[in-house]
Amino acid sequence: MGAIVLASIGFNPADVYYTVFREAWYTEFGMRKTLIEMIPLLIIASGLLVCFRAGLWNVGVQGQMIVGGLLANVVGYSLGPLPSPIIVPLMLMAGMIGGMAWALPPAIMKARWDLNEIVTTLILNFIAIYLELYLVKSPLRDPKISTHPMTTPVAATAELPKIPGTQVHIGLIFALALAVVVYLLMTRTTLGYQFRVIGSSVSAARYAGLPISRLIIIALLISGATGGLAGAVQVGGVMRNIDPEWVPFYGLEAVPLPFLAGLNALALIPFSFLFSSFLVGGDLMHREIGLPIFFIDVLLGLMLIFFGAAEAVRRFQVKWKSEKD
Amino acid sequence: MLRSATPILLTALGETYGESAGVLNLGAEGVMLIAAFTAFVAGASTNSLVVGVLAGVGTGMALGVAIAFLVVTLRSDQIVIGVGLDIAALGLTSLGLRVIYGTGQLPMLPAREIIDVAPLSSIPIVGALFNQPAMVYLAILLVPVFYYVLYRTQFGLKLRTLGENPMVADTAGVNVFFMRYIVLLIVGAMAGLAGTYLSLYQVSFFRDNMTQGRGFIAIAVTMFAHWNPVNVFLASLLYGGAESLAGGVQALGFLRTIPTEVVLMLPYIFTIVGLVALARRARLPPALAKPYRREL
Repeated sequence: MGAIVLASIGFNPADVYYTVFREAWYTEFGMRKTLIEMIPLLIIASGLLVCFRAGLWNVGVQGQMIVGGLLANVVGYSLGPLPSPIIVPLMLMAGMIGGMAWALPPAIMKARWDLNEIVTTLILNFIAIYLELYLVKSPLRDPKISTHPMTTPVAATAELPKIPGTQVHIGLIFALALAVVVYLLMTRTTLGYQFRVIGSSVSAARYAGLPISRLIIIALLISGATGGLAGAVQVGGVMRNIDPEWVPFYGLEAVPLPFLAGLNALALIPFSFLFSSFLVGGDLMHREIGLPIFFIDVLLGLMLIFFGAAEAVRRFQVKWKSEKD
Repeated sequence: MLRSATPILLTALGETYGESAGVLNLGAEGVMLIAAFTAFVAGASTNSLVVGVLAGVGTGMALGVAIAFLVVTLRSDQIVIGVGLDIAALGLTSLGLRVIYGTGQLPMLPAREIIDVAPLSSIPIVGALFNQPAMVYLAILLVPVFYYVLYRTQFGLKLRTLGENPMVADTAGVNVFFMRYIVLLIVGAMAGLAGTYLSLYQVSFFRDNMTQGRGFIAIAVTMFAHWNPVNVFLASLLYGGAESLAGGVQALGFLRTIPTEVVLMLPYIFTIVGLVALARRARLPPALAKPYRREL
C-alpha cells in the first residue's frame, strides 16, 4: 500500500525502502541516530501500552511531553551546581511530574464524568503548544541568547551521560528497562490484570467490584508520566534547551506501536527500533532523493488502518473455523 | 463569530448523526484535512469555487464510504481506524502539497463571493450577520433540516434506534448495515464540506495541518450538545465566539498586555470547560463505537 502511494508520486518503492534502511543501518551516523530516536518512541509506547490495555486512548502525549520537557529544562538549569547523580534523577522526575500534571485533567474527567479521553487529551495538546510558545518567549527565555527566543540550556551536570563506548546517551537503557517493567507489570501483577479486565469489559470489571475510576486515573497517569519522561530525556540527552517551535510528533507516531507489537511490551523493542529506522532513514533519504519526510506519516497512518482491518478479518476467520467444526 | 463557527457546526452536525446511529467517527479531523486539500487543489487548478466545493464534498463522501466498509462491513475497531485516518491525512496532505506545488508559491484561488442581504446588512452591529459567504448560510439552514429529520421522520427514528439498540432495529426490519453506510456517507459529506469551507472560504489557501484539531473540537461539541442539532448550533456559536474573541483581542489596543499565546488558547480551553460543564451528565448512545453483528 505504501508502495502504491510512492509509485503514484513517481518514486520507485524498492529504491526508497532500500535507501531508508541503508541510511539508517549501514553508516555509523545513521545507526547512532536510529538508536537515539528509538528512545522516546520506546518510552512513550511503553506507557501507551498500559493505557491501551486498559481501553484508554491517550492521544495527548505530545502535550505531556512538552510540559514534562519544560519542567525538566527548568530543573536542569536551576539546580546546576548539584552533582550529576543527583540532578539527573531530579530532572527526569520533574519530567514525569509535568507529564502527569498534563494527563491528570483528562484522567479525572474520564473517571468522574466519562468524558471521552481522546477528545480531551488531544485538545490539551494545543493548549500545551501555546503554553510552550508563551513560556519560551517570555518568562523562560534565556537573555543571553538574543537572536532567537530559547530557554536557558540545562547545566553540563544535568546532561545525560553516554553509554560507555558509544555515542548514545543512557536514556536507551532506561527505555529498555521501562519496556521490561511494563511487561512484568502487565503479565505478573494484580494491577496489570485489573487494567486488562477494564480494557476488555468495563461491565465485567464493575461486576467484579474493581475500583474502575482509580484504575482509569492510574493508567492515564502512567502514560502521562512516560510522556513527560520522554520529554525530559530529549531535553537532557539531545536538545539541552527548548525552542518555541519544538512540537514533538512522537506522541502521535507512537500510537500504532503498541498495536503492531500485539500489546506485548517486549515486542515494542524491535518495533520501535524499526520505526526509528524509518524515521531516521526517511529523514536522511529526504536529503538524498528529495522525497518529503511526510511520507512517514502516511505510512504510519495506513499501518494503523490496515492493522485494524486485518484484526477484524482475523476475527471473521476464527468465527468461520469454529462454525465449521 | 459565525465564520469561525461554520466548520465546527458542519462537522458536528454530521457527527451528531453518526454518533446517534452508534458510529463514532474519530477520523473527522482527517476527513476535513483531506477534503480541504482536494477542494483547494481542484478549486485552484480549475479556477472555480464550485468545482472546489464539489471535490471537497466528494472526497468526504468517498472517505465516508471507505470508513463504512472498514467499520460496518469488516467491523474493524472504529477508534483504530479513526486515529489511523487522522495520522495518514496529516502525511498525505502535506506530502501532496509538496508533490503538486513544490516549495514555491501556492496558486491563487478565485475570490469567494459574499452574499450581502441588503438592506439587513446595513443595520449596525447585527448587520454583519447578513454579510457572509454562501457556505455560512448553508450551514445555518442545515440546522433545522438536521433537527427535523432526526426527530420528526421515520429515517431519524430508525437512525436513533441504531445507536440505542441495533438488534431491536434489525428485528423491526431496519437494514442496520445499509443505514450505517448512509449515515457515514452523510458524516463524510459534512466533514468534507467543513474542510472545503476552511481552505476555500475562510483563508483561501492550504497549510499543513490547517484543521488544527477542529475535527476533535466538533466531536466534543456534539457531546456537550447531547446530540441535538439545535444545541450543536448554539455550542458551535459559543466556540466561534471564543475563536473570534482570540482574533479580536489582538486587534484591540488596550488588551495587548495579554500575551497572544494565552488568547489563542481560549477556544481550546473553552471546549474543555464546555465539556465539563455540559457533557458530564450526557448519556452516550449505548451502541456507540460497537460494531453490529447479526448472529449475537
